[in-house]
Amino acid sequence: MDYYPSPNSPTSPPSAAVFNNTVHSIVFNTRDEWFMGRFTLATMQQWQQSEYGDEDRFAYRESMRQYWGTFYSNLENLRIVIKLNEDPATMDNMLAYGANENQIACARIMMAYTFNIMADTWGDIPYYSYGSDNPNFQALQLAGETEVIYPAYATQEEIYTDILKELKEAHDQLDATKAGFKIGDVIYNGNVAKWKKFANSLRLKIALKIRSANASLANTHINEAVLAGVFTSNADNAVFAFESADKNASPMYRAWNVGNRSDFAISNTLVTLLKGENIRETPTGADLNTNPFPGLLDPRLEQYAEVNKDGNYVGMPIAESSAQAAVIKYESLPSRANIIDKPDYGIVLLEFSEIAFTLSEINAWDQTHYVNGITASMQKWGVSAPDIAAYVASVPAANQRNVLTQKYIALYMDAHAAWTDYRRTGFPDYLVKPGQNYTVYDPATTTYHPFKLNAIPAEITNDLPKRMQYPAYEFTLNGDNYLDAVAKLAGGKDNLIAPLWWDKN
Amino acid sequence: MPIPGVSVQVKGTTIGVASDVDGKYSLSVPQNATTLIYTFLGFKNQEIVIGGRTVINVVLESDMLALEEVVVTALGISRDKKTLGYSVQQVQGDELNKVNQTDPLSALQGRVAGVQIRSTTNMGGSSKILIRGASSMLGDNNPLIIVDGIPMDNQNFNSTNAQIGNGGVDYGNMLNDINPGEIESMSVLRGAAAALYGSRAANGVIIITTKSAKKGKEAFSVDFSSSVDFEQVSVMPILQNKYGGGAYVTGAGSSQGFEEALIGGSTYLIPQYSVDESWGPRYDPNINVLHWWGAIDYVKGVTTTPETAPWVSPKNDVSSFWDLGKTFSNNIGVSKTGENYGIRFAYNNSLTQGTMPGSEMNKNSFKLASNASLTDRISVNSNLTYSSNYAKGRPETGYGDNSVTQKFFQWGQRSTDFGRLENYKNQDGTQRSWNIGGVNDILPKYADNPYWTSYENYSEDQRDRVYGNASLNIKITDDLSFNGGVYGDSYTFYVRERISLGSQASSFYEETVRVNTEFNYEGRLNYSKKINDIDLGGLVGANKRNVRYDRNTGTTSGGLIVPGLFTLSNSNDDPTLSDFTSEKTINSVFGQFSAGYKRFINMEVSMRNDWSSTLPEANNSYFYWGVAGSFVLTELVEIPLVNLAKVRAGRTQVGNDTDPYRIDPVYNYNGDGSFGTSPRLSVGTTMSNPDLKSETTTTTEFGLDLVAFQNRVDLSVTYFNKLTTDLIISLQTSRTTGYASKAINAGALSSKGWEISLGVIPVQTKDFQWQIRGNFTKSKMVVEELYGEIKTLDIANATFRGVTLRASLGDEYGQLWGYDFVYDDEGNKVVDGDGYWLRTPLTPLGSVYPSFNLGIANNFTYKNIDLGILLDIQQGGKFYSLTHMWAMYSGMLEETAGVNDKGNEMRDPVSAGGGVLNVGVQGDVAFNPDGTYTVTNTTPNTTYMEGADWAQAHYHAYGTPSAQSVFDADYIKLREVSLGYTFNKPLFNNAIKSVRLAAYGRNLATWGLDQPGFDPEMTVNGSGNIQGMEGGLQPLFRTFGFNLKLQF
Repeated sequence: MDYYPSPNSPTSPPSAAVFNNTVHSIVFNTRDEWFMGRFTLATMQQWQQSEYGDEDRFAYRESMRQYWGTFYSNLENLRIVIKLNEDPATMDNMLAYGANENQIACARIMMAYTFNIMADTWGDIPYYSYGSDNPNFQALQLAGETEVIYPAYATQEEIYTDILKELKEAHDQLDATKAGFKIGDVIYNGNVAKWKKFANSLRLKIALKIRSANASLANTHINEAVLAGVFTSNADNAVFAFESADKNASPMYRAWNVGNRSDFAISNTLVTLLKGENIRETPTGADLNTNPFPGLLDPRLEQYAEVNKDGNYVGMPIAESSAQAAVIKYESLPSRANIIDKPDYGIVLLEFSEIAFTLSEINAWDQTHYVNGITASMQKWGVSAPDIAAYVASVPAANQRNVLTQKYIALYMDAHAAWTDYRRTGFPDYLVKPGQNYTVYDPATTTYHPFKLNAIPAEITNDLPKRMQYPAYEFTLNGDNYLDAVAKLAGGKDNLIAPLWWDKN
Repeated sequence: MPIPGVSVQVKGTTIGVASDVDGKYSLSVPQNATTLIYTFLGFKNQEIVIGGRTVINVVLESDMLALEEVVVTALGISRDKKTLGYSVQQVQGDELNKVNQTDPLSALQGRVAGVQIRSTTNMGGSSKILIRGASSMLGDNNPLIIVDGIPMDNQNFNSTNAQIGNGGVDYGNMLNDINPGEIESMSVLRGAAAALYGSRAANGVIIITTKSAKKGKEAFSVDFSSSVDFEQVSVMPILQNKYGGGAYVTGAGSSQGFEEALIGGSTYLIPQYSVDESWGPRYDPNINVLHWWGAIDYVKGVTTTPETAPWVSPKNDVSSFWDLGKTFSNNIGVSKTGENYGIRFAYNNSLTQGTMPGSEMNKNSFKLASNASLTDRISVNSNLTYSSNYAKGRPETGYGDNSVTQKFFQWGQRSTDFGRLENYKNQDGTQRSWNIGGVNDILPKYADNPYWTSYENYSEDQRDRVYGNASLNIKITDDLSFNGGVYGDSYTFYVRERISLGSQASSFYEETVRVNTEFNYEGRLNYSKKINDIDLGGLVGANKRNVRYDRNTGTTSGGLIVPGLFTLSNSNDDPTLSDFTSEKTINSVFGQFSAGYKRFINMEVSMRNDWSSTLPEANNSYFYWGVAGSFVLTELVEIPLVNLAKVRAGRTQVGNDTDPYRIDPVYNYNGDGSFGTSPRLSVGTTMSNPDLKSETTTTTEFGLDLVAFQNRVDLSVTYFNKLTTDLIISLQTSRTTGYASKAINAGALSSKGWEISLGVIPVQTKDFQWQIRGNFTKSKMVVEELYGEIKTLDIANATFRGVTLRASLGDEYGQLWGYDFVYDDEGNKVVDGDGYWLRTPLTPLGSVYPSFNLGIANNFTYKNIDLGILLDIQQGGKFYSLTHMWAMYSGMLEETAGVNDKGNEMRDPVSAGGGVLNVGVQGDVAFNPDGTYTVTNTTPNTTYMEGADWAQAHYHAYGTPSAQSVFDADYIKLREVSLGYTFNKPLFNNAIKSVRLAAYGRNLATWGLDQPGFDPEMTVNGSGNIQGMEGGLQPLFRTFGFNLKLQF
């Protein structure tokens, strides 16, 4: 009796097809209506939910934590891309899709990108490194030479150190004289030089993040990355553009137009910030916070949001119940043309403006980089040149608060990065904190509507979450390692308030 | 064999006598006597016309409690039940068909020991059947079904989403194709009895024998049966009738709890149409509001000023949605027999108008069964059945867009009048839903109008199936015979699902066609010889089994272009396609050898070797064997009052292979096709394993059979212990390994239990008889071993993940893990400072499988009248209800609108004496990382919560226990009642030989539910191992029916 092999599926796939699928999945799953929409967009008060707002009040669902699993599947697929380009049995066949070393390097960069988001979300996690034999790196070893069924958690210090090293090595491995991915590279379409800049820019961003935890390591990488060449314009941006057909459309387009759910509106916090106004604590009370850019209307407002039914820009508060949300009829949607009705929306993995703000920060809040950042952001969102010039002319000068608040505005729709900056620096200090009373001003009725941000999890008292809990299945499937990792968290509990390694603020 | 004690009676008189020890009798009869009646327990009554004879010898035919019962066992071999080393329980078609059965499996409910069946009452819905518990942790554990020797596919294609209650249509078991009216008998084989069938017998075997015409004498007969059934709601969640939809709105722009809207210079009170909850103002007939229909009519220009109506509990509530279900079944059979042949043709039609509006089901089957002796030594036999099964508008259950009940019980406005919903379309064809955005936005928000769902978004399915056999029997010598045949089963199953343009969700059409074909080729030599007191028997045989399954699915993408057209071409973007093929071959040789001495000691050995195409070549051959024996004490010694006493024991192994394609690593195409310039592929989340080998199920059983008091009592008791080792499982791995699971041989699962069948005839007189039969099943499945540090295997997650169904080490199989209450040392539940229940991390809350099932069948006959009452009792087991959770959250259930311990409305503010107090304690709770905890410094809780806060805290994402929606699966059901009258006399000049009229009911009443309105059978969403979780239930329906049977 013979074994019947599968007639349905190949056993040796094209590496470009695996890379293509994986990058799509990484981008989609980190930026969809759950992992970004109900998690960081809501937490960072860029969007709020307009119907059921439990996650806006930090009651994240278990299913959101379980993106963990999808991320590791994507990482395993990146490992397979590398393996296909290294295994003597397959590597020659893979030359049809680009030079082996360039494919490997691109996979390493996307691994670094993914692990960075994961470590920023959870803290210590099981980690895999292509270029390191650190025995603590035990993830993705089920199909490896030595099977690891219970991967230990690597520390954040080890992880970020290795990510930075991987990005450096991937940059060095990329060979611009040889072909990049000939197909399946949606981000740079096989442009090896741009991948090099992406590696350097990502390395700069991550190095800055860990500077307060390990300054010497950070500074080495910052200097090297800048020297090696980071983004210099929006043309360098790492953008993953979706397609016009529904099935391949952007995640937010799908949420609105395929799922037919309009669950989000732009946040009152962001709208008020962009309008140059302060948020009042109660209808007749004092200001809760002050706007770093008072009286300055940000022209990006009309690129970020739609006007409401009355023709005004009014943001959505953090509703405490669906019934309360239903009474609210003044909220503005996110921009239809630029975001939610744009199926081929390009999701930015990393952009020049963020790098410019980073350069400003490492150069003592440098004004030129600051202005570059604002300008690049506005250009990316389609603001006209005169409007940009007018805004830049009147925007208050660079300092920590202004640079980081501008960075927050520029990181619209990349709320995970904004959350990381907030945890690292405490900026923007404009956000509404748990326990605070605040109002939403509706110009149509000249009314201040009062609200209070009541956090649902008891542990959240006066600040935003510092991390997300591990998914519950880690306890049952990898319990000993999970408990070790939890014991290392500040406070020894797997909760939302344990600060991460680099969160020294 | 002579029978002593047979009652012989002159009909119409009290004159009678009993036969003596030699079975002889003599009786003086009056001149006018015409007929003698012979009655004896365990045998059918006979009436014999005297016809002037002086010697009348009668051969009695055995009846239900037979002493010399012949039963159908493995490979269709009829065996003397007395000598078997295992128990076989057989149910006759007459017994099953006292009521019109909708499908053959649920008909067995309560009728057989060792068999646990749960059925939904949805039109053509699924049944879960389990014999002696599970033998696989992740497989479906369904028994093998053999119909007339044909292994029949009984898959269930319900999606995982449908099974976990996340939305999907229940298309039922494939075995629903079998026409119950043609069933002559069903035998249930377990353990040793089943082993000859090989791999698939690890979960037991159900052998169905259909009616046939038996050769022997010239005869022609026609039988006809006609039934009509009516279905109506019997159990559904109990909803509140005090408060309407939306919330109680306060502040500017509101009045009396409603929003205000200024329309045409007048102010109207607006319930919150967009909020699919029922926390709105209390009903008050003096308040007139602009209901959703008034708003739509005004916007659409149907009315020139908005029409308002009082704020009252609706006249037409939810239950008016379901139609009275009707099923018309007609069955006709024509038999012709001669000395050397028998032919039967049967046709069945069953036409259902379902309880869902617009739903229907039409089943047709044609059967031709024939057998003939070609020579003295050669006979042939063939059966061929064609069945066609079409259904439209099966209910979608679970948490899905087209699940209307999700909007009736979980999320909705209690103030919605269903009479107003019936008009579901505006003049311009757009939808009228109660759940609109507002006066200015009359498109559906979350919920479609349920009538729109029924009439516009229905599914259709069509299955055409042909199954049959052709076999040849050659009598080589008197002792030796050859039997060879081919057994085939093939069906094509089309499913078409749709969402029309204008629905809340994107329009869509999906078409799936499945073709499943199984052919078995089998030949065997049978030997049987009696040498003095020794009976010898044996067989050797070989079987080749080929199975092929193909699936093709096409789905539109980006919505539909033209309304009302449901084709894949009518897709805005390119439709997506997926296809799958699986092929499998198993070659087998098998043998069985039996020996008996004076029918006192009997012994049987079976063995089989399989070669499977699904296992790697090094491991693809596996051998297994079984042995069973019996001692019939009553054959050796006479025991007073005991007619039969037998002890038996057996031990059997069954080897099992795996699903195809688990050996090689494979890459899957992305279902959405290419992206950009490149195709998309990824590695699967299950890691393959080139070293898989077969798994083994070993069953040990001991039993006792007793028949006593002149056959008025019979008892069969079996203890079984089933252990499956080297289980082929998808071992769940931490996702950090890169995979969710790995195919592996690991672990052990045991199932131990008791099967008891007890029959008693408490009363037996000339005209009246009362029989009781109880069938008791107790089984306990335990996960004995897993792998390494891994302590749990997830079977499925409930929608919203309030519970996870798991196989967890050391626990009973099918454990629901959820968030439990926190208890102090005295067993009090602990609340937090605000009065909300505290909870544990995920913890085992109990198995979804019951600890025992008991069926009690009472049959009364008085002259020509018979009455049957079947009670079905289940104890133990748990289920999780998402419907309960959301129905509490959204203020739908009656529990959310009651009065508190002070006698005040719980929805009144706490400050006004309302609210709810969780009866428990406050205290200091310290949790350890492993989930254990200690509670200290407790004081009684005195903190009241607002009613809505209390109800909404049933949602576990608030950090509260999901155990609030976990219930015991106990029930007592009045499963069947039938009342029949039989005319024994020929009618119309002998044109009609007999007539039977019956009225009956199924699922008439349910008692003992843990949570009123929530029945554990509402959680059956498939026949696989995902059980006990519900995400959007249909009510339970009861059936009334009438049946006429004619014999020509």
